[in-house]
Amino acid sequence: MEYAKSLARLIGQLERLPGVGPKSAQRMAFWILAHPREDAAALAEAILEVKERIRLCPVCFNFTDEEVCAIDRDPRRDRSLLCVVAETRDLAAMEKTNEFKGVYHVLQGVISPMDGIGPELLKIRELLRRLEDGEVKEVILATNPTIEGDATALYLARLIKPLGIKVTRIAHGLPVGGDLDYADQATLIQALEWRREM
Amino acid sequence: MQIKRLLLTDFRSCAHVDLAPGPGITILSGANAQGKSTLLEAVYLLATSRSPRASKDVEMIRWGQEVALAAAEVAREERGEVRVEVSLSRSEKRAMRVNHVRRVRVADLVGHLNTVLFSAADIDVVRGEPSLRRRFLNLEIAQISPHYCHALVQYRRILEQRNRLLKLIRDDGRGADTLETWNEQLIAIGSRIVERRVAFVAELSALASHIHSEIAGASEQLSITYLPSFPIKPDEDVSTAFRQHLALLQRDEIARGATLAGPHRDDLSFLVSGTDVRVYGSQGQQRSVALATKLAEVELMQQRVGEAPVLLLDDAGSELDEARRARLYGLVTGGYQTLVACTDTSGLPAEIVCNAEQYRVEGGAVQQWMPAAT
Repeated sequence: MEYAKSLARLIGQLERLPGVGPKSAQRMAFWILAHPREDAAALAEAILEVKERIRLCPVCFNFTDEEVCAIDRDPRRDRSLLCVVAETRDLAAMEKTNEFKGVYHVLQGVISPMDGIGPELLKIRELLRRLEDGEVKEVILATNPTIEGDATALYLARLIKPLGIKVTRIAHGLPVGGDLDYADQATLIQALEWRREM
Repeated sequence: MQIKRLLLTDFRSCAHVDLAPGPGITILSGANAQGKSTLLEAVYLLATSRSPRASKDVEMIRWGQEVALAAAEVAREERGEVRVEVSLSRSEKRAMRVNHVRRVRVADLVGHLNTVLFSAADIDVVRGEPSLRRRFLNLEIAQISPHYCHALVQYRRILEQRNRLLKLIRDDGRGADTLETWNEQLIAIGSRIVERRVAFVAELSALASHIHSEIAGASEQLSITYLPSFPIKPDEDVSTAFRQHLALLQRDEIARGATLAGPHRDDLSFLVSGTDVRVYGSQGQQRSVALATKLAEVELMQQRVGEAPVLLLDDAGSELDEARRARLYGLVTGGYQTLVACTDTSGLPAEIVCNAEQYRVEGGAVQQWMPAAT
């Protein structure tokens, strides 16, 4: 059976979302269809509002709907400690810990020649400009421990070190509360390599 | 180590196989294209994550089916029982499981089951393309070192990225400032791979040389050496040598848009009494060298893993002469679990046949078979 045109169009649009296959798209479309008009309007509005209001914070390139993002406006934040992450979702993960009191810089990606992404497409020039006034004393490179994340960290370290600023890389290894027994071998090897003296 | 149970579902011609091989020799006989090599292929895939013959996963999925599954329950002396499983799909990426837990990294699958495969194609390692020798090294070392296996996966990714970057620099003139960081990663991981291979080849050569003199006579001195794609002076760090050579190649690499040195361009040489067997050896010499190398590998794996690997013999004796065949089968009777695939048992020595469990493989189905007493 073929769906009515407008229903097929909705399913088609939903299918384009990441992690949504044809089955899920159908279920979502029927849910929208079965619910009151206000629910659909609220969803549509939310989608449009996000597109209209959200922009990149001009300081750290986090997403924000204000002039400068909440973190950069917060006077209690330690501006001598700068954590560099690849994506906004990485920043969100760090924030959830409630432990990190410094500020962030979101690169909006990592270097990957295969995807045509070079440093000029990332917020690297902006990062270097932020470091100019000497307020930042340590840069923590918190890109993922993947080939591309490592390449990006390495590239940044080479640029930042000559400025006389301390550059560190987040540790990778065993998950906390994890069992040595259950750790995959690659992680164990990393944990051994990054061991520290006690 | 012993495979207690081998399970296949829609794997090539095998719709469903549930085989419980004994601790000794299991003979799988049948006409060509009935599925006997498929059983060995599945075991090899579970051990190394690679098929000895298929280049794409879909080739191993039964016609008309969406998903194929291979699983083995392996009894290890030290670690107890472990279940390894690979499921292949036409539409999704393959899924690997160890003890039913999904594993993403190849390095987590490889190493639970150790095998050495003997087949008529072994001679190609000696006389074929350099890529076959690198493949041989990679699959053997990966089985004894998860670290190596992980490094290989990383290296391939770095290589892909770096080659792409070299083309970008050549074609668009952009990205030259990031080449240095890719060089660093290439050198770090690449040197680790080369060092591991050099050490492996040195051990392999010593063992193979000894075995070879038994097969071919004491006058035929075999030595296997690793040939890196960049010169390494004695007492020089691999990474230092690699870095120096990359610097020399940079202009060429950009012009060609490819990485021209590193473990992906290295080779092995097999010398018998100082002569390169790949170029100057007779077919007989090449076969002896190939067999000695494989037998040495069994010994090395056993030393490293601390347990006997499972041997797979895929029509392995057919190309060998009497003396070499006797050497191969002498090993088989020495306490290894062995799966032998052959068209019929007439080519096998009597002491192997009468000590073996026998199965007939027909149309992808496996049936235990009691040959009539003669």
